[in-house]
Amino acid sequence: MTFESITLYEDEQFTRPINVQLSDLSPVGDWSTGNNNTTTIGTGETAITFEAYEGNPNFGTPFGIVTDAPPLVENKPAAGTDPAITPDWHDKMFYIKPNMSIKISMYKSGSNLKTAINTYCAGTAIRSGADSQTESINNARGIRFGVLRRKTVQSICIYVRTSNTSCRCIWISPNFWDGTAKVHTPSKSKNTTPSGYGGARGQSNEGRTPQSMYSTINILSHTIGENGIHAYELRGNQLQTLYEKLWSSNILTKITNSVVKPTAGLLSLHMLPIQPTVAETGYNGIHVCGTAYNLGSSTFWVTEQIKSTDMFVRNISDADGFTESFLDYSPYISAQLELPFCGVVPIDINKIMGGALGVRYIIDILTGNCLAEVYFKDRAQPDSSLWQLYSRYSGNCAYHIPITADENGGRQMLGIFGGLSTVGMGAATGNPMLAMSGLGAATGAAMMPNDVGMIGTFSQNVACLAGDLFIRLHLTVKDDLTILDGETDMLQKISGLPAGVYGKVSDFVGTSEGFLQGEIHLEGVKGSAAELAELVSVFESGVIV
Amino acid sequence: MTVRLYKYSGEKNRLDKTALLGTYFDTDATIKGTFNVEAPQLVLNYTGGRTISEYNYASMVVDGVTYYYYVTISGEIGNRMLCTCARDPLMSFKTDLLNCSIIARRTSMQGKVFGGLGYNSFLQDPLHPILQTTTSMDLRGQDGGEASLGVLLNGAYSWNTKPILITVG
Repeated sequence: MTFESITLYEDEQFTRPINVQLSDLSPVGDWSTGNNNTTTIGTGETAITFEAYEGNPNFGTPFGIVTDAPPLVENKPAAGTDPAITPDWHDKMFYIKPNMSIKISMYKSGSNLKTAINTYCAGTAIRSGADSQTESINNARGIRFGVLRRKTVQSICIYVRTSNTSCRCIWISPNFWDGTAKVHTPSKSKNTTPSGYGGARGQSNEGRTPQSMYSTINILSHTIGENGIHAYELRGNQLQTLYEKLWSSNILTKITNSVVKPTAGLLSLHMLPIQPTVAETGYNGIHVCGTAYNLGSSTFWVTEQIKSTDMFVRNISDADGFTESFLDYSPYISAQLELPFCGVVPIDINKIMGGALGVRYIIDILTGNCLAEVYFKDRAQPDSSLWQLYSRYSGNCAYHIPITADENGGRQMLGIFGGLSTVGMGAATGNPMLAMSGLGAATGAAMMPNDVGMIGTFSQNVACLAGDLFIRLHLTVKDDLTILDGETDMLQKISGLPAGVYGKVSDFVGTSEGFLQGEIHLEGVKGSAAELAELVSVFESGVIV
Repeated sequence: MTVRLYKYSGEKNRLDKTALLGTYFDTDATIKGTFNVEAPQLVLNYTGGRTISEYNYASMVVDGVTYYYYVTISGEIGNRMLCTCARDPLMSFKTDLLNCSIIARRTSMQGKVFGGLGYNSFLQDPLHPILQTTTSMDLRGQDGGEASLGVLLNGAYSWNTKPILITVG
């Protein structure tokens, strides 16, 4: 497998990418043999290079492995361990997905830092005394490295190697990091040829697979104490506990809740047909309007706002009972694709016959809005990795659960998130009611009963009542009647089948009796004019050969 | 000259009639009038013993070439019968015809799906009878499995029963 680009993420939730395009990278080659340790890293810069491979290239001892476990926390060197080294510890976590193997080489300016880095850098098995450290991370989610900042080091830069002699900086840290875990927004890259070495290397996808191309919007907050929009996955009796908190019989609670209405901070309660990505909050409560509510057990918050399902793929092949003839195409076959929550949409059978159909859902955990992406491969390339986008269809898959009759404030906020967007020429209805009836596209947001503002009402997303979540392709096939007791070969034998080819008459004479009809060119036939005309006529009518 | 008479029961538009040339017999014949190789008239010196009217096809060698004819036998007077012949160009020029080129519009010969000598099943066939009735096929997931949203619980896809609460603040 190859990759079109390697994307680094500043955060563990993969929401802030630093994308490295293939055009940035040097040609495929062996970096370990091409590394030139004599290149001087610029003053005030520390260059990090890394390569990414699929699988385990077995370069060496794993370094700084980041797994699904919490990120490694490196031990900071104690102050004063080395007077020449500041106690500040600057580390940067880059996350890479999907799971890959990463080889890291580190280069630093000046020999004085060499030993320091080797000693204090994250991870183990660092060779000391080397100009560079090359390690491998097998099946890692990301890389984390730490570089001690000497007083002369102004910034940490990531360079992209564009050739054996030139690099391009794709990221520069702000000067003088404060050493906290704060994530820094990357500054604009500078297209220079620094004296430093650096780089990242990825490989290229053969055509696009759609899995990597969808929105990475994430406005969810999942930091303790940080205000924002939170999405919690309630488990066990947590919902019941929440109700008890909201409508407690305790007079003090009642008074408090009457002053600061917690329901104003409850935007939505809904169920989804997928499992979102969650992480343990680390405490037993949820945050609403600045108040923590203890639900009595560990709570989990959603870390990814946009979730994509796997690609559901169906090859459309002769094994499905098709005839491998014109009867497999329109108007003899019509196709409809049943997309849960989006409706039943017509599919051009001519595009998918002999190829494949793929469906992927992209779901907004926050609102339940979903986008069904339909892809296809045509007959010419059924096994290709290239998927072509057929169209996108929108809907809403959230089953809303009313939790309060309070319509103030909450409804106004909900209006921001409610509603649907219709994308693409082939968009089906965003109105699940119409989707259920298969009548076609809805018109206008006013017809959307699945508005998130359902809290406080008993209107629901009707489509959710159809518990059937299957994605199906329905084909309607016109029946063909074959002659002579249903033997399909009789039609071929007696009257032939359409050809449109040129050859000698003998080319169309087989070992068994057949039929031939066409325009014959009489070369070397010594008949009379009338006989020649008769021959032309009889061949145009068809002869038994 | 000698004429071979056949009983032929096959189609007129059959290129090679050899396999269907049934019972035959040879008889002597004389040319009546001027010989026209396309439509000669012959007087058969028939010796009897057959239902001569059943014989409708003939072959004769003219200048070393065998030609085939449809024949109509009439005017039986004793053992002498008038035989009116019409040359069958398909059978008579069969060998030359096999070497002729043709743009085949319909053929029974099976060709490759896209190209090659033979029929192309992807060309629409106006002769193929199509009913107005329909049959529905339900394609599901790959390999007959289910393509479904939902989380897998106890072997079936269903909703994620853990609700999502969206809060602000």
